Amino acid sequence: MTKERQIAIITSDGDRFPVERKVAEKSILIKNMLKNLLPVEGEEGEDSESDEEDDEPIEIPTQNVRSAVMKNILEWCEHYKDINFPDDEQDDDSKKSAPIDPWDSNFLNVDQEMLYEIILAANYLNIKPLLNAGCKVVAEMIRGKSPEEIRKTFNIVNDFTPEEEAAIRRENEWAEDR
Amino acid sequence: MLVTELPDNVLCQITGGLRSTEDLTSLALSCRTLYQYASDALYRNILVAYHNNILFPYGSSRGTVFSICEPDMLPVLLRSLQENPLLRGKVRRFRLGYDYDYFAADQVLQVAELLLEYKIKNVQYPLQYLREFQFPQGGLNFLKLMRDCTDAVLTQPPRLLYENDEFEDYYPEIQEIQKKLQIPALDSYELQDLEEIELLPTGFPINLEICLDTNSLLSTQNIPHPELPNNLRDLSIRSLEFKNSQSVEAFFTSLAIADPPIRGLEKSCFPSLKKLSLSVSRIRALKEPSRFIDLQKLEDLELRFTDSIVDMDEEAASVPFWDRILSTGIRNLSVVNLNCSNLLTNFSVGSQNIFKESNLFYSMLQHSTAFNDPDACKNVCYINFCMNNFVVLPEFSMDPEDYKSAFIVDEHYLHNKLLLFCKLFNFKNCETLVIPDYLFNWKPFLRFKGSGEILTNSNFDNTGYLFNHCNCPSCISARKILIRNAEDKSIGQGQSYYNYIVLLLFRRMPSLENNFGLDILDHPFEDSIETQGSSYMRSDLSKIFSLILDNLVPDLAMLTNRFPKLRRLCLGGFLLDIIRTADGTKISAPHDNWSRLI
Repeated sequence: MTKERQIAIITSDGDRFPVERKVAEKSILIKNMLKNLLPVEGEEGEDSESDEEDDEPIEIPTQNVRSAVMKNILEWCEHYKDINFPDDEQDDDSKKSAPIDPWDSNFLNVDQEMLYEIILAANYLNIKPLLNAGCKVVAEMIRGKSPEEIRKTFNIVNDFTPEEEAAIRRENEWAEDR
Repeated sequence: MLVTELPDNVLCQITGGLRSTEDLTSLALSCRTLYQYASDALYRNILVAYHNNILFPYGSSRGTVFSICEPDMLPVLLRSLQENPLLRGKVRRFRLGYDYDYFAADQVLQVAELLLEYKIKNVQYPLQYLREFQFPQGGLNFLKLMRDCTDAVLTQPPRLLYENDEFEDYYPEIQEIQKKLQIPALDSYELQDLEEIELLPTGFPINLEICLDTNSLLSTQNIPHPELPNNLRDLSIRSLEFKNSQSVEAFFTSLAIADPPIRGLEKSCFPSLKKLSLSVSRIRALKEPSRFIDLQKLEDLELRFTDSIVDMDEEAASVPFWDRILSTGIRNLSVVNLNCSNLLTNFSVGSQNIFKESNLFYSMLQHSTAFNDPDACKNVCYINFCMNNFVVLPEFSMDPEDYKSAFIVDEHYLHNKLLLFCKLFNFKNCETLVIPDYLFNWKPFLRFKGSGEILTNSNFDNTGYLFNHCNCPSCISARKILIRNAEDKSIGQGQSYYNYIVLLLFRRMPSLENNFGLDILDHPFEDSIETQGSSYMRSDLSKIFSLILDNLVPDLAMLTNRFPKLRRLCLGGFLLDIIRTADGTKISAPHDNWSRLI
């Protein structure tokens, strides 16, 4: 039995996070990288003969993610490391509309800047369940609010002229719940 | 960083998660960037129906993928589509609900024309823009609409076909019309006439619903359609669903006449078929489809039995046949018994036998490997199982003397009922289970114990078994309402209160006579309290519904235990979500504001 080779994720600001393989593999991007770099035992790759190199940890650079965000991402991956998410989740409407898991909701209770960065990182690293949860949190922030309240929540400037605004109201009048 | 700076796919996902039209209209007004995403989501799927009349499977509390346009707002929607052409390109699905008013047909046609015109003009790949335009049951379908809207047909003189007419002469004409018609690419089409197959565009996967007009002799007579096999080979048919048994017979007879099967080539008509729904009344009717369709390749199968009676000779011959039909590759299975007569209209002993052991549904349950060997059905993850023996709950009696006034239930019947129900447990990987007739066809005869044991119920003195399990304060108070209302004669004519409640729940579901059972949870459910005009009793009825749910807890515990992967459950109109957590199994019925941790 050989010892499992170490994996380290390097963030955009140069920090190094040693991680367990199954934690890192919550990211489909990293999982696919590892599939090539480090075949799972039993399905050995061709270049596994140099024993010396095997002791070196594999370093995975993630240029788009800074360490404060990576810390959060890895916390999420650690929490779900033993849970297998089905690959075809994307098309499953019932899952998309399912309420957000309370643990995720608590985990994503961060400021907007961090929330967007987590969403961006999940999108880049291809961690669908985390991306879904992040999007649900943002949708939750929109729910039940008036246009003005939405602008206030997200710090958006109203760039419509009063005429344009009136035209949109008229356009979507059919959908108003009376 | 601002929310508007998030990538395109993320913003689409966020707006896609907003399931209320109100939220989307507010978001559209917030700024230019978000207007685009909100309006994409708002116009993508439109359902014309009254808000109050619909329930969405797996969604009322969480909304729906559909934006609802109330029927009287249809002119306003039409106005928006007329004024802003870009909106026409956003619509993917347009559906008309059950309460669609045929008087508004003009507006519907105008909407269809706008959407189709936009699609035909701008389309770059077949299924871009509009993909579905769905009418509720009725004479109108998309192809008819296209024909009616097209001048090409209007310029053709009406033509009567006579017995000796050569159909080959007629085909070039149809092909000519087809060229002029330019039927746009959609996900699915409904055919009311076999010759309409010639009109369908090719080159992308389609779903076909076949509902031949059984009143029109021309569409069901065995007219040879010599081009039918070639047309079918050209089309890439992914799903084939038949609304009635006459359609099945007419379709496959035409096919057999046109293309006498040559060994090895028989199954070439449907190379990409994955989903099949057949309506049959005799076992023989299943043989023809099995000659033309490679049943081993199917993933979704529905069998609908109508007025089926099996004689013993046929039954013996059917044994190996069920295994050919129910192949091991099936993932989604729907079996439905559609019986037009029921015990309330026919009390004779003879008819009681019909409900016992001599129909195709029983034969299938008894003889198919799928229902008798757990290994044969481990791929099945969706089941719709509807024996539908009673339309409403009749009087039961265990005394044979009562045969004139009651449905006679004997030990044999009860024992069989238990055996039949337990056959469902073979499908242990099932994730979605739908038992539409649960409250009147199973529940009265079976008792569930907390330990998971199932026994027969032989106590038919009243309907107490449905209401008496739980003794929490809310159940006690709901039972008082029940007693009060049961004594109230104003409900229906001679209809018992229990029947009234069970029917209200049953009528939430789209009728299986008119809808296919494989995707029954994709259709909106009806809020039958609203549509039956009982909304003045809503608060009482909600309490009774909760009472029934409270009393179903042992059943739910048993079902979640026997089906470890079960996530969605529909019992007699109750829609239940199942979430398994470390603390236990949480079962909730969002439409009925009910949930319970088991």
